[in-house]
Amino acid sequence: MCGKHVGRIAQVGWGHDEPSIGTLRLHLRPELHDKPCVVLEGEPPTETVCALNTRARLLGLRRGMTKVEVETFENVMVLQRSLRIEASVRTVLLECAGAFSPRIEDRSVDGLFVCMADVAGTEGLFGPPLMLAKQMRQRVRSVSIVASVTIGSNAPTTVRLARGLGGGIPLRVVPRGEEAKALGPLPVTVLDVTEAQAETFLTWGIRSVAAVAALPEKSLIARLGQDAKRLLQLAHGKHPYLMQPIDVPFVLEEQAELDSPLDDLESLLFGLSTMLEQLTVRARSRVLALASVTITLRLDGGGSHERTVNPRVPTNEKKLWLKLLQLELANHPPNASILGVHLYAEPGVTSKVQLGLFSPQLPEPGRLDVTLAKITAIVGDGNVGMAVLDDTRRIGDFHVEPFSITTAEPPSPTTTPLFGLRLLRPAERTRVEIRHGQPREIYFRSRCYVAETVYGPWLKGGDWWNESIWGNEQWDVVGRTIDNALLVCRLSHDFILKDWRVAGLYD
Amino acid sequence: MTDRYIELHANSAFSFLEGGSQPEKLAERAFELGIPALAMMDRNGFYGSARFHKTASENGIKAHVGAEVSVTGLGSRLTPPVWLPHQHLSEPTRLALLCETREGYQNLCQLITRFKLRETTKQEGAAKPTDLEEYSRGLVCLTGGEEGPLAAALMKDGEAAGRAVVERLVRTFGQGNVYVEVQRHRERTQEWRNQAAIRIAESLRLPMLATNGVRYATRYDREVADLFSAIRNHTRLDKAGRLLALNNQRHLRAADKMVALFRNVPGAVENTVELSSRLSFQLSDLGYEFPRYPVPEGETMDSFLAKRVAEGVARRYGPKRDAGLLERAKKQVARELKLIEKLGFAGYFLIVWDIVEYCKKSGILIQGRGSAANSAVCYALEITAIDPVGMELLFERFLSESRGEWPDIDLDLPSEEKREQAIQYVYQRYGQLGAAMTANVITYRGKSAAREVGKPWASILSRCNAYRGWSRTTSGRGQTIRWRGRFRTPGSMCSIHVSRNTWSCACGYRTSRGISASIRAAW
Repeated sequence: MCGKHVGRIAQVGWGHDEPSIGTLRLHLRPELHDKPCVVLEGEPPTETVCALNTRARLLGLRRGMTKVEVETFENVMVLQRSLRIEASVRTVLLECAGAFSPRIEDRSVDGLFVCMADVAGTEGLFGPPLMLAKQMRQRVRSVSIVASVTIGSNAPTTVRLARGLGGGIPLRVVPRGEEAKALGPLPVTVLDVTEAQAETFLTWGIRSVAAVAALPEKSLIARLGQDAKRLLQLAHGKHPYLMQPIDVPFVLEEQAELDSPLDDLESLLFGLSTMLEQLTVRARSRVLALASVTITLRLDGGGSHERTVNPRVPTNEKKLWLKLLQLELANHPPNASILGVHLYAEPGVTSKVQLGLFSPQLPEPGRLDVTLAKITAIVGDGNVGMAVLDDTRRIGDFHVEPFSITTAEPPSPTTTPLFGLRLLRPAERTRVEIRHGQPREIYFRSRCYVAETVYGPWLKGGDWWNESIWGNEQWDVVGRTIDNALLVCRLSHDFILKDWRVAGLYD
Repeated sequence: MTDRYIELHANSAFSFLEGGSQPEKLAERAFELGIPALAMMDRNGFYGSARFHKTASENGIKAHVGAEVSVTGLGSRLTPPVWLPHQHLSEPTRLALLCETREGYQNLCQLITRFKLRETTKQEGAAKPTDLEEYSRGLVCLTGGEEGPLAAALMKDGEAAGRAVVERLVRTFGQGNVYVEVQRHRERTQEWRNQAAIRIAESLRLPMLATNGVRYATRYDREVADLFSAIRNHTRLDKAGRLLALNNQRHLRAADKMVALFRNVPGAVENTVELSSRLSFQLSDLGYEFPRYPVPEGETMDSFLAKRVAEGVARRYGPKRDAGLLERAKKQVARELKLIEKLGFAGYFLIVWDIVEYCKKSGILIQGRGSAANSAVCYALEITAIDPVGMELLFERFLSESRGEWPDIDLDLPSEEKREQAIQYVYQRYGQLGAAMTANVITYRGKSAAREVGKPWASILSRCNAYRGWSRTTSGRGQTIRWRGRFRTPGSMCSIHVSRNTWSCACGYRTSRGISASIRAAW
């Protein structure tokens, strides 16, 4: 189906027998790309090599070797297999393929990542097939993974070629009708033959796909049964295939396990740099930016430490993110050694806030964020931002919200007060003498005022359902001293705490 | 008892989820404070008036009748200014109306019925200004508190707008039937409005009226009112913010407190007594007459009923061939007929008889049940099937002059078409405006009340579950006492708060039980 109706299928895979697990494991360790590395799996002491890179293979290492055998080689980097990391990197790779086509299918087999993408009709976007293949390979390379790309019109053929069974050619375009020729040199085993069939072919002296393709159909079916027809179709590159596209969720996530417990944040930042780069590359590919990043550190002893960084505007600047994460972690350091890092990012739009043409130039959002983060590190969380009134009857209750750019004018009260009230913050403690239930004498700033006129009390109270129950009465008082000095003030009496204060002065 | 102050603006818990006390509690509190009369004005209805009237009468308190009626065209209810964070929704203002006369009560009933018939969504109806003009006779209008049109106009457009609103009310209700209401809940902005209202009253030569805009009986019930506010607004107590009351001042106050509070507003308190004396209407003065049954020329309803009963006695007791029983039946019937004639219920019995006769002729099964079976008249009229004389049943269980209650005859009908046929007969025989269907409104009971009251607490839902358990286990009369004993024992500071909350929750639970409204619809 794919071949006939779709036209071309692109396969993303790895060169010849380079192990995919190793590649996935080295995704966030670019410094290891030039070193011989092996990946072990299994329970100690029976661990065996499940994957290795080219340099390790050149040293003589092979899959299935035990750990003891590996240790006989010098300067070999040994890594443990991590299924979680593999899963997250697999998502990244699917996402890469998804950038070229909405119809993709995961055809990974036996630890080898193979992805199939329907690229029919994308010539206008990405150019001729070879150029498309280059772009795909480049895209995968941008996330530090080496892949081989094959483009063809028959899906089973293309998958087999991309799996590297044809000699590890990184870029390959198989023209329509030349599938059999491309498959011809490959061994018979690529046709997924059974053991019995393989043995039969061996006794017949047939070793290549081309030889199978040359066999007469009826005679072969008479000897091998109906499955022979499938083998012939595969060998001719004409086996039909029904593509089953999958939906790849766009999750900006990176995970890394550390080789040894880490206490130094500076060293951690080195690893974070790579992870952030991967995240920004992926976000950028969708014309998005990172709006927030949540870092979760897996700590020694089983605990975890999570922090979230939210800059004012979404950005893909890696340096800025690193700085913000550094400040955040310096402000809230983990209480144990770090064993693993997990980054999760929320994507956001990259559009800029449009201000007026003649508005003054604002500082760079990134610089503002760094400055705010530095201030936060000094004054503490919740103390940086803008004050917003709470929906409560209690006077002066507010909370601090992060700064946001708003172009709307703040609403202003329509009534113009006749008096100006100068609120004292904090209200000044005072002593008040009560007579007949009303303030009579006020001792304020070392002077005694006798109340001439008293208005009130104005009563307020709330939060009666919890420990923060509050209640106060207010009085507006006009008082004079003996030497005729005037005081027009607002008295506040907290009758929970039995505390009198001058809350404000009337001008 | 003092008559220096009458509270003429009180809302009970039947102002659904606004008032914090049951009508009975308000009446009892008024009695404790020595208030001789009280006017209950619930939101858009008289739902609690009957209960209030009953308890008030038992306590020697005059129960005035009124209602707060939502009105369009007089602005929206007062809400905090836009620059303050709040969750208030826009609602029409409510006009406080008191029934001065029976005509006023009838008009207010019709006014409410009219806009209720118009409303498409529950609780969203409002009277139009033209409705007010049509049904204004016999009503006294107060300018209201924060829910009223004067407060809304003052805060929105200032004193001139407030004066215009009051002038409009005067044009609608008449110069002598509008009182400028002042309330003092120790709030700054309210005092500003009061000063403006006083100036408006003086300029228009209108009387001032002091009220406390009562929402609950005692100051402690503010917590219940807050709880109800949270339920009404579908939020939690700790998230309700400005939806909750500013303080706890909207409780019933004694006369001396009100006199002290309004000493600088001359006449405001005195006018409450004067207005109370004007309000002659009470629910006991409904002047209700049972419908008349059309009888042939030369007959009265009583004579017609006596003949039908005599026929029935002969038909019922004749075949039994028991002279003694027949004699006793005649005596009993004569006694019952005498009481029925005295109380003027002959028309009622004849109408029920007429319905039963129709059903029997039409082949519709019909049977009287309940206490009506104690009446020999009902037996003779073939309304019931049990011989009360032979079985020596007590007639007074059905009808007694000393109880002062109206007779209640329940008839069982088959469901579906036959029932509908009987209903249609009643509609056609007595007219569409002479017949009506009534329906019971569900009321809160233990578990449902506890569940709804528990919602605003959110964090103490587990405690609410505990209530549900108690409501099952403590359904006896000692429930209240047990709760008091359990919740009012303070321990540490924390446990004081816990017990306080639990107590409020329990009060809310108890107040919400029996309120006739469907809170489930609100949620």
